[in-house]
Amino acid sequence: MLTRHSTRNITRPAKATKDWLKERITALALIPLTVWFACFLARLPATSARELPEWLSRPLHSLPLLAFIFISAYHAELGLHAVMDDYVHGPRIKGCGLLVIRLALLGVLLLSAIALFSLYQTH
Amino acid sequence: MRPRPLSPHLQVYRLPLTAMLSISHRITGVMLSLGLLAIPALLLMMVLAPKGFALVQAGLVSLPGKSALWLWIYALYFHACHGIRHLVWDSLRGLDKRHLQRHNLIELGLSVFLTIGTFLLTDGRSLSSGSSP
Repeated sequence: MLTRHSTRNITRPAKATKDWLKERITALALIPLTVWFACFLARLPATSARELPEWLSRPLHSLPLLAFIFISAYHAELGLHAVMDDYVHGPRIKGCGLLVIRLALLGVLLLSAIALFSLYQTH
Repeated sequence: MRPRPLSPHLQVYRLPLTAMLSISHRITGVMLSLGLLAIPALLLMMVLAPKGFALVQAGLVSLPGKSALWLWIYALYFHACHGIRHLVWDSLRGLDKRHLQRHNLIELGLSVFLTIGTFLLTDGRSLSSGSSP
């Protein structure tokens, strides 16, 4: 019999369906953003440390980057959740893992947004 | 009582290419999630410690720096291409053996093509030359 303890951190079917759909919707949005981000990375070595903050201070550049970071982080949360579902079985350690992942990704979002906003303000 | 049979015996079983790509999708997914952590770190450095950031930027020009960058780019494209494959599978297409083999090669070819294409279009060009990356 499934006890309350053993069902903790097992995804409910209705939520699983929603997560499945969210993973696909974020994946679709990430296709063009990935190409943008890959080209951004590829051009970093030729961009000087003085040029880059200036370039990123323009919303035309920072907004696509922020969109990539936000949607990637959301997509990563869904993906890492699925990986945890498959390999991590203790309910307590899984709960801790999910919390760590969520906090780390939330930190990624907040700190990136703050950094980009301050570049926007200082340039 | 006889012990229950164990399956799959991954160490004696040669994984088909489809399975190799599938596990690579997972591994690149986890690695890319870790890579995501580097972005705010670099952005904050740019704001708070421009001198430190200049050192990181100099590291990107070195061979190990460039290699890491291009591995990141290839992982992005590979994960995206296999992700598109999943979207095709979700439409119940490409699931039979003949398509699996062909789509494996298309997927790998496309990820290599995109990486080389990105290299050819961006090599030596700074972000400031032209309006978008």
